[in-house]
Amino acid sequence: MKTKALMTAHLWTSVVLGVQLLLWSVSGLYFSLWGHQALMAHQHFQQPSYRQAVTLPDSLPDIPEVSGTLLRQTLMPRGERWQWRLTTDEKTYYLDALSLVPWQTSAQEARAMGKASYRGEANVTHVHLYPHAHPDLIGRTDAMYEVAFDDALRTRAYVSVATGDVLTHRNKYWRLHDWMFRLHFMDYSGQRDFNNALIVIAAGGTLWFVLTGILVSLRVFRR
Amino acid sequence: MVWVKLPYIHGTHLGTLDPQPVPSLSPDALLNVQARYPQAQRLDWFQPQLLSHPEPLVRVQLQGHRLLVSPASLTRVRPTQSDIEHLAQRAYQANDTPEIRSVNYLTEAPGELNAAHLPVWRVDFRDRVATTLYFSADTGELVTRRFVWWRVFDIMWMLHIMDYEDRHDITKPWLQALSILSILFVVTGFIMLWRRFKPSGRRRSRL
Repeated sequence: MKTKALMTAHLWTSVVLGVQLLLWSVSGLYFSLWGHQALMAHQHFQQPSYRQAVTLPDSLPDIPEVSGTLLRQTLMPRGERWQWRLTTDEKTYYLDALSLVPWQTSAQEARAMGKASYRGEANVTHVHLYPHAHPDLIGRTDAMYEVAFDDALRTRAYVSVATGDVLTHRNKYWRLHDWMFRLHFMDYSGQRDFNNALIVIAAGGTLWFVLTGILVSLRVFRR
Repeated sequence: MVWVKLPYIHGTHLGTLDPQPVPSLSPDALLNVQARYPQAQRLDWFQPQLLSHPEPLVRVQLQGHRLLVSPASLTRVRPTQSDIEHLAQRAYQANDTPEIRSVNYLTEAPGELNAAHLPVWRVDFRDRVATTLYFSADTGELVTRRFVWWRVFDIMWMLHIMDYEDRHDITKPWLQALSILSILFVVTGFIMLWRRFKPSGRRRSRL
């Protein structure tokens, strides 16, 4: 290719890709300044431990019949109750181990579970039920409680109604973190898939931009 | 990094241990295990598929580690090396015939393994993608899979985040310096473009 044509190709690639290069650099710098744990909003997160909160019962009723083949039978303390988790090849059942009714986390339990997942000193300011998941937990549609704390980061813990699991933490910077990931991965759905077609094209274009740049420089300097 | 799909890099296709059916266990038996390990956070009755102990066992989740316990005798069961070889051959799917090259017991994590999984058995296979399967030495569970494309991806990741030592710290100062340089590079590039193409008719600056 002639040097001038190469230069034009390089120039137009730069116009198209310049904005994305800027977004990659800015979001990359943003990630590096915050660090991994803060980007997850896990500054105060810990795996909750419930063993101290609940006493061992003398006996438990036998587990009920479940549909499918049993693959795993799990007993665990959840807040102040014991829970069965029965995994079959069809689904997982979550049951109260004493009453054998399907597990339902109460707001009061969610508050305690949220607190158990919080490392440090903070007070709970509110507990809200989100029947169709909180919008900050992308990809989930199940009911959950939000347990909010009065710390400087405005940390929020999310507790599943159906399982009693503390799903994750979020805080007041989460939306900004999330948008930086969208821009960096070029996945604007929020799914954080960096194998999407758009970013493959942009990465290929950047490679082309760098190669033509090196070629142009070599030819210009050789003159 | 964007071209090769992430699930492929994670190597799920290299091997997996399918969970096996278990008969239900009486709640009293589980309560006995819980009484023996009062700090347990979770008890799982499942089939770990050990040759040396063909019965299902209870996995006890304690703070930071797990162990296998027989609910009948309340004694601890540890997978043996031949158990691990058997599990590795069962799990392996990267090739038609699993050919184990070496089996090693590790108490220190190599760079490609999260130290939280320790202690582990490392099983290396003789195949074209240098498959390695890591099994928990406490429970025999398959914890991690590695192969040549994961290792290449890891080098790419190292270059991406510029942590040339541990390959996981994204806060290195030279990464931040280079990001700032990169921002300046794009901004000055746009200024040069603007000067060259701006319609005011002033003399075009040369690239």
